[in-house]
Amino acid sequence: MAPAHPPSTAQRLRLTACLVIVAAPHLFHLPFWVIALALPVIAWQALAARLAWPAPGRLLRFILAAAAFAAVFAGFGRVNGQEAGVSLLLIMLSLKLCELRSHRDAMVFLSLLCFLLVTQFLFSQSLAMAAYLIIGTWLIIAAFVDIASVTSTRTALADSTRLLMQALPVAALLFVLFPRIPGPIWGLPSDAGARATSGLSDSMSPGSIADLALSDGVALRARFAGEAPPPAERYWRGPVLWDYNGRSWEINQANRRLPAATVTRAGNSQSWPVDITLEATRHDWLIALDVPTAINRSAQQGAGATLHADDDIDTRTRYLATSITGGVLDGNLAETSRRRALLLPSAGNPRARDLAERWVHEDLAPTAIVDAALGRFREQPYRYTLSPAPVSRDAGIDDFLFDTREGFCEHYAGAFTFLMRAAGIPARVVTGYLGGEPALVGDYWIVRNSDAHAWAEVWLAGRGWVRVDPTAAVAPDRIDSGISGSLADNSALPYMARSSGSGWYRAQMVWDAVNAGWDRWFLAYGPQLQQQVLDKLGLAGWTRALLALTAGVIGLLVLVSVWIGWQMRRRRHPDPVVRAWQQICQRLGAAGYPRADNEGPRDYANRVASARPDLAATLGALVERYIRLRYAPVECSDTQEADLFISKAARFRPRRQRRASRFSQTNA
Amino acid sequence: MGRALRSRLANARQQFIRRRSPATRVPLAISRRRLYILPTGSGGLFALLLVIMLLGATNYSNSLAFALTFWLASVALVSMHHAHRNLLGLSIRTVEAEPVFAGQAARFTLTLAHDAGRQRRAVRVSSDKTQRAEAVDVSANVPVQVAVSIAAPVRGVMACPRLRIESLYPIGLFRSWSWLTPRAEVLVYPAPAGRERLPEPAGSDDAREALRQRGREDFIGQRSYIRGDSPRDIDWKASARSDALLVREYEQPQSNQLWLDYERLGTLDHEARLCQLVLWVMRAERAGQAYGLALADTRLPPAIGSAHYRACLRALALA
Repeated sequence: MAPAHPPSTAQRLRLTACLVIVAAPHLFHLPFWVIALALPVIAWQALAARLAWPAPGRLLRFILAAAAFAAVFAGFGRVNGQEAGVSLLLIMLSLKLCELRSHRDAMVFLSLLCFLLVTQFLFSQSLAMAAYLIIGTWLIIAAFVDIASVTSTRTALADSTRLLMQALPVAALLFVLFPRIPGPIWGLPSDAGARATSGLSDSMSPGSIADLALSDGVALRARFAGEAPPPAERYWRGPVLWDYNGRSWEINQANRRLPAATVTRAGNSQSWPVDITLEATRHDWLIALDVPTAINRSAQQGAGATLHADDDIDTRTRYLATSITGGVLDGNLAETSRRRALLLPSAGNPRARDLAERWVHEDLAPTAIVDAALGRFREQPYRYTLSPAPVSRDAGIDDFLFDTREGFCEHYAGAFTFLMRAAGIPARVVTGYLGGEPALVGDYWIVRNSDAHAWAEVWLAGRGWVRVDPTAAVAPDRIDSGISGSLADNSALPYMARSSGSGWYRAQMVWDAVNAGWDRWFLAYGPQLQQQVLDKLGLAGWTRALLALTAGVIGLLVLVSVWIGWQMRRRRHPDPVVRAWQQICQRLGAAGYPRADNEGPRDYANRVASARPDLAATLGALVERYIRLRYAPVECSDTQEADLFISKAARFRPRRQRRASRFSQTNA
Repeated sequence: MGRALRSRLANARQQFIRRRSPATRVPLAISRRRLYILPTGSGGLFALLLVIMLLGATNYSNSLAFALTFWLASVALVSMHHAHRNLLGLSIRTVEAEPVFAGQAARFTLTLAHDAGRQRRAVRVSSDKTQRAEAVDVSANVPVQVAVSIAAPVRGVMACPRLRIESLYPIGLFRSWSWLTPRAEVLVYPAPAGRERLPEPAGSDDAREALRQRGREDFIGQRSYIRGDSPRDIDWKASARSDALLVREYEQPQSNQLWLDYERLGTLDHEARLCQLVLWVMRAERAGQAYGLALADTRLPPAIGSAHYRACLRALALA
């Protein structure tokens, strides 16, 4: 039966400590009020355990539980889902501390604690969380050991370590071979997945790209099949912004009704297959090299030639996108698209409009107009800076073009597109990234948020949409040297974007490589990767894999069992004389006269002799020999005597007496 | 009809279990054949939770969740082997039990020992009827004594019932246990009961009268002081005259032939007579009165002292 006594004070405090440590990372994931609810309950119960307060009654516990439900419902609007469910679990576990009255309660508590541990990984799966998994499991298993048998903390931790190490090979085998079913099974709640960091958005206003450049977080990692494209082709296409509302460029919902883009190859077009791992963005566009044509997952290509996934990208995603440079994008422009690409607000920015009309009156061809605009940026004193002077709300383009003359890429792209539209040339703003750096360790390229960029595209007859990057006119180094090489003052950039080459930079790059490997091999291990691995191992079909798994697990468990058995083996006494004496005692024990552990040889022999006179003579002789061999004041180096004793002991076989006396144990 | 069937099934089950674990002489060890292992209730709950975690990990395609689930499952499987090995080879070296009176609880004291390499942990010994049991750890070559209390309602010889040795080591998800029946017995004396007064010793009432009249018993001489003698018996005058402390010695009371006779309790039935006799024996012993016991087939001459006391009680228990 289970132990009848409730968990002791020390055990309760240890369980509380386990809860605190396992729940700690949730501090970063859950709203503050949840922690504020759980922490006082935990502190209360820890005090109650220490000071031996009586446990709360059933009514109070019920009220607290109901209050917990109500609080979570009020705070999140529901009880299921990632954040709400985890919050509820945490609060209920804290309340469970009130109810640790029996062994079974403690076991239920610990099982639910395992569950809480698992929920941590819904929020983050970084390497730090992997270390946390090890620590959490170690503590929980130690708590299990502590509850099942009364031991010191040190023994419990040692036992836990032993169990975990012995279980590790089996777990690794299960991880690799256990059949992975493609999920999701019941669908993901709307707040699932890790929180996305900042990234491109579907609207661009003066300053928005500059804000993004202040983050050196990784936007995507790319692997090229062969060589990397030259710097001038390292444009990564993100959302295309068609509509200007007087203040910012954005994507209007009506965008979806435009016909999809078409890409055709030309004479010198080159195809680039790129293996991209995109960080979570919470939008649905799949960033790819300019201009993407194919992808190895389900996606649609919008009117702006950007790839869109079916759902928002909530977790890190990997895909293979093939892009073409030097092709023709939308050789024939549909009328709706053309009208859309010429749309400007009815009023605002008069000076810019005048400038464009002047170019039109001069009867310049569209290419000449483009050159005129670029020439203006190149020859007049325009500056490229992360922190330009602010522009007014309603005449932003005018202020930038004629007054402040300083800005970041979004200013230039936006103003240029406005001028083109005012001059009657269909134009649009494209946002995305420009550049990227090769990783120090590993064969991939890193594109960061600080590489975010905005440029323009104009539609020219016979050439389709042509990329025009006004930033290149102002800061040509931007293309070749990336953002760190193009700004006069580097210090405003985040650390990793400065590409300094220092030790800390290298350390960060190595860490990035470790993380990339972690992500690529461990976190991405799903049905597809498992298929590849199994094929390589020669375990193609399901039956084969399952057979290998079963055989492997059984084999490893047998090994573990043999190891434990070897550890538990009987320790033989090193001295053969003592072993022979133990054999004598064993045989006498089987005959009904076991030796008491505090009984010396002579006393033992006398006792047996008085009960069994027939054995007295032989036993007496043996005991005398043994005492002489073992307890002589001078060590007896006569091996002959020892061998004689051993052989005589081997021949000593006392027979059990027929008439066994009753109550031989009780003294009459 | 149903009741008879159920009792027959219960009997058959008891017979089956008794055949599987017959009473064995000590020392007796737990062998592989006699060792069983099954998941506990908590183990079942744990398994259910693991299945839920597995489904969750599949749903969210979460590698760390898979890793945790598989690791916990492996730990459970490995713990099964630890649980098995924990009890395998543990032996009961001796069983002792002091005699008790009927209605009390008999304590069987077992000595557990083993000579394996590692300590055996959280071992519990209980019987069918006792539920509460304390856990002990048994180190190699260090015997540990464990007591099991069994109710002894009937007088006579009670055999040690089937004992259950179990352990929840290491993590309480699996329980390993073994049924052992060591061949040991405890003597149960009849419960003392009865309303008859202790009979007078047979023989000279006159001698007793004379003694009472004289007020003190006959002084017959002195002997040297032995540690434990009452200080009141010390003869100070005589001691002052000699070198050592001297103690007065009195005549032993004679003709106190108290016989406790089975036949004299004609009105009671057999068991009641035995109970009454036990009560008399206890009273006589307490009063310091030498007593003899006369039963149908046993006759113990009058004496006093713990050895005689126990012999009388044993005779009554086995009568």
